[in-house]
Amino acid sequence: MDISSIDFTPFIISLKLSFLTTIILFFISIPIAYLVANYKGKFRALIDSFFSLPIVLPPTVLGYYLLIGLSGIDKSLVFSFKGILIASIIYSFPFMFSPILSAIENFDKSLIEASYSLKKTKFQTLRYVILPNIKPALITGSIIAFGHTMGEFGVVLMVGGSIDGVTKVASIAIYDYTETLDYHLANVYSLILLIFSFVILVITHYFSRKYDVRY
Amino acid sequence: MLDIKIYKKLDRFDLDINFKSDKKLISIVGKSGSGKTTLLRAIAGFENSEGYIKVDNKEWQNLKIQNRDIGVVFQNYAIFPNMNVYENLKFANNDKTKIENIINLMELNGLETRYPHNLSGGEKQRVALARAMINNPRILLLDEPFSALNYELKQKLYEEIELIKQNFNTQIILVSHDIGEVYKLSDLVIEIENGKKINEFIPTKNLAKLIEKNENEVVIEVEGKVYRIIL
Repeated sequence: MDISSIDFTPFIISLKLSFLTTIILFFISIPIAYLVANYKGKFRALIDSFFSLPIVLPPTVLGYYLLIGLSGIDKSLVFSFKGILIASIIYSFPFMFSPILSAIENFDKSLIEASYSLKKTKFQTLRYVILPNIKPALITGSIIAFGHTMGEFGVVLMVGGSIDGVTKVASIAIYDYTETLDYHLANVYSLILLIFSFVILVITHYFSRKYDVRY
Repeated sequence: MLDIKIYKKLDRFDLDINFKSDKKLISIVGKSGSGKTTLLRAIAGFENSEGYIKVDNKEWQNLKIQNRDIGVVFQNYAIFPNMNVYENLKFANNDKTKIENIINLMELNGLETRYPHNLSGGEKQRVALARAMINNPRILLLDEPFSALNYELKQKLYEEIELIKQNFNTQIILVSHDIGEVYKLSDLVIEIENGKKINEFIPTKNLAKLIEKNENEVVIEVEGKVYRIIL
């Protein structure tokens, strides 16, 4: 099969979606994880459950509520790239959030106290002491969130449908090709996603090992 | 002048300690679990407590950690792993001259670009002391500084603490489980047990009766109590 005849647009949309989701999640997850890690109140179990909900919730359930919710806020958000971006951020949140939360919670408290004793604020301590020392968690969270968004299907389909060049991501394209019995293209797309996922995992493990050795 | 009264409810007992002193080095001595580290942490502001911490008549009790004029040397030294020796000092104080002065004083020359994982125990100890002292704090808090050290490193640390006593106006509060380790350094010893002060004395001014002496230690009796002192 001539490679130039393959339409790579769904992959480009998937990559764009994953890249933006990861960047936004990176900046959202750090402050939330920091606040949750330092929260000592009685609602901790409730907070943890709320933030992990996307892991256990069926994508169609989450997709349904997002569809209803987003259309209630602004009808132009559904079946649009913006809409699937918001959905991806919510759906992939725990994959970025959990490693960062765990790293902050297990962070050596004496390093934080040493920073405070040197008159550094909480923000300075987070920026210059905590974050540089939890790089493996930041990298792992980013790569897994990126990879997870690349393979997203149910939520994107519910919120964005399958609009060519807009919301049709790689995993939905595979579904479409299978439905239309074009197994050859479905096979090529699946193989690309399989290799991509494997590479993502190799990079994750490589960085985890590299930083573990250094620190 | 330090005027401290700390009260804190703990699991097994209540910590209830008060002392007032202008002595340069105050050692808080007690067995493991006697509440001495909690006392040190309360003075630093790392833990909440009731009572008062008056430093030169200024009340510290409600001050944030950042506003208490302290330097702390942790048991594990707590040197930032992502920064080399110079960056650790620079993080504490940006002033180039001050960094150079403390590097010279604590004999850290040549170690500036080393990261903590490439430092020996003795070097880490000097970096931790240098970082704690670079801002010339009003109080230096040392948490069990001798506990994990061999004989040579203990001797080196005695010299470094003496160096700090001579070069700074800082008052030092040191926590130790072994009175023998801190006896000769201390200007005041406060012994605590189950969160309460059981004894307070000035080591050099008390009559000590020699019981035994060998190359590395002497055993003395002070006010009916036997102490092993590492030389």
